[in-house]
Amino acid sequence: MTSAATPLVPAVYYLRILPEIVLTVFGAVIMLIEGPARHVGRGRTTRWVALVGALTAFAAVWIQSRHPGYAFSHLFRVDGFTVFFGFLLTAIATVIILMAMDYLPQQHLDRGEFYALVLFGTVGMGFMAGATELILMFIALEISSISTYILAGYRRHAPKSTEASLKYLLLGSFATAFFLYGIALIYGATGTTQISAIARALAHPSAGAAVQTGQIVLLGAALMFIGLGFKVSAVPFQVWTPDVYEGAPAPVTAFMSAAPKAAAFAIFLRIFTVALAANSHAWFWLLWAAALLSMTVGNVAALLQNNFKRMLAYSSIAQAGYILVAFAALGADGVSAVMFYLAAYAAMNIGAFAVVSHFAHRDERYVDIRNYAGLGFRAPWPAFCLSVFLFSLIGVPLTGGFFGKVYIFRAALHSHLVALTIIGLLNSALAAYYYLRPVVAMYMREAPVLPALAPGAPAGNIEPPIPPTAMSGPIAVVLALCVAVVIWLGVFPGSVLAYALRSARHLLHG
Amino acid sequence: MHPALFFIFGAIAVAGAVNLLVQRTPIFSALSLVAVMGALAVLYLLLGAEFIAFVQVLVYAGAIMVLFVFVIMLLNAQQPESSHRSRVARLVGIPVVVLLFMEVAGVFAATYSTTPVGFSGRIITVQAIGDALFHQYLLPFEVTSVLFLVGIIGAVMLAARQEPPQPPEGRLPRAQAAGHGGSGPTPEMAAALRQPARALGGVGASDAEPHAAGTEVKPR
Repeated sequence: MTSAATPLVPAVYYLRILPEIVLTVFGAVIMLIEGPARHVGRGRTTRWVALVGALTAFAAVWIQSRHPGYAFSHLFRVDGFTVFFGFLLTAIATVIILMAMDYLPQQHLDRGEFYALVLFGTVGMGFMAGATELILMFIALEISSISTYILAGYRRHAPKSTEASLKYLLLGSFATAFFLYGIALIYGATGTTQISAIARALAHPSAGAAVQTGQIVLLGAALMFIGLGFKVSAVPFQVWTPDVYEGAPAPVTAFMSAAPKAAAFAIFLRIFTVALAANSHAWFWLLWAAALLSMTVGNVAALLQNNFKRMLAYSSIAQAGYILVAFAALGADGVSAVMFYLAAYAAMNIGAFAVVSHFAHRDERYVDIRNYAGLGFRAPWPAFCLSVFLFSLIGVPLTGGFFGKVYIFRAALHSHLVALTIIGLLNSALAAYYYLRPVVAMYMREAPVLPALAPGAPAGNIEPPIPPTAMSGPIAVVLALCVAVVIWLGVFPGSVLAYALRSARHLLHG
Repeated sequence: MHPALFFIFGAIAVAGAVNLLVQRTPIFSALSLVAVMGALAVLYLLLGAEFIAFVQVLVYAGAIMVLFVFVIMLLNAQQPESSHRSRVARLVGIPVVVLLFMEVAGVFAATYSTTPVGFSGRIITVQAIGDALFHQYLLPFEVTSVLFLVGIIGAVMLAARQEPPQPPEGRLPRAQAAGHGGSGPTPEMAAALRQPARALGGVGASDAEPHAAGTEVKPR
């Protein structure tokens, strides 16, 4: 409450939220120049502005990291945790913008709003990562959510996209309402919305009101768990995921599966492991059950999918389950495993979606796994990259996914979560089946000879192979970056894990 | 505070609420609700809660009522669908109303007192709220503007007149729309699929072998 007395905002506060300021300014600039830019330089100005904005924000995170501490009356804190997520989120935004440069012209959807919404969404997620107060968290969560609701409906001429947007909006609003109700109850029980103050109030409950307050806190924690469980698509709050992932434009799906999920895990961690740490015995089993169900339901459902995006949607539910295992392990080990896995997962999942987005073609016609038959010989490089990402999602050694899973299950074993670890390992084995299906299709299946010439041939039984597709510069950069990160995390995981571990200690011990 | 004012505006509120129920035309009901909201705002003001009074006028009498009136106008609801034959309404509604009245009466009887109430102890002024908003909660206050901006962009983007995505040549989409539902790419489709590659200005060459592809994509 230092600044309540001093009317002036110290300059260092602005440095501490510099990435968010940069992103907001660039987003606003894009909206301002969107009109004139359509007639200048064949409408390509906005995307380059967006790319520069995201890269500048990435650099701004580095400046932010030089100024650790609280900002704006203890509402925002720059620590290792914030900076880790700041780098991750701005990197994701950069890659998504590159991906959109390839995808949007292909779909004839090239408009500036897309880039502005990605940048604004990242503003919200950046604040989610650093917020140490529930009201700011809520507003930031809303910014990120509303941006993604809109982006999901970006292919307006496609009914599926509109359906995705509407479903996501309606269900997401309910989830947000649950989260808000949880905040209200926690405030009612503790009289504060500051994370650290809540932790103090719960650690030393005043003798008289302890029992009643305890129940209100548990109810509030449960409601917040529902809201955040929805955002990270944990079972049983996952029903929206396949439809929204399928309907949303492919780069948006990539964005949704990585960035808002990472940011939601950031506030999840901050609220549950810091603010509600004193009550961990009560919410631990919620986490345990959600982890178990997410892994199992996600993997079993993914086995049955033919649509690549739906398969990756169920896979992302399963991956959220693995992350929840690490979360349930608690402690610095668990938190750092969550962070490492989120980084590895972002690289491999965005990479996989980049390939899907590249080959989707007009109106996302080719998104069935059977479309990929024989692609390994016709488009060797993208097929190779896709294989790397899928192997990483399985958890094959030398990929980031392998070490991600190793750290998760190690943390779980340290915390004696033996049952959860065994089920997680079984699930990983099960998951190999559906992750290998596209690989098998690409390398071991011939592209079918089209029966389209024969008049009256039964349509729909044979999925047409993906036609030749020119590789554009941006998508090549995206694939190269994602492969590099996946391999780097798989060969030299040490530095990132050490950083995550330090950040986790920052988070847990103030 | 001023008993006369309290009774006048209290009476207006009650009269408005009764009028709301007995009116048959929705728009009159909505307007009586405005009167109720306005009268309640004055009651809040009499209690010393100035900020709540202003917000009551701004949010309820202003924004929310305008929304109600818009919906009524848009749906063109002149006369409501008659429901006075509904037995469910009577069987369930009347007991619930009686129950609610008994509950209110019970609470009223239990806490009845003639001493005037007010927020005299901790009066929440606009100044106090402004102070909190611009000092302690400055950051959320500013960040909310990004939230609204995103909302506006979304509303404009999703509600704006839809222009169907047009490839450069005008004849392609029509030919495509008329195309048969065959599973293979027709020549028009194949041509349309090559458009994006051209639009990108040939950044990077095709990584697939053109000859092999040519034999597979049969129609050519």
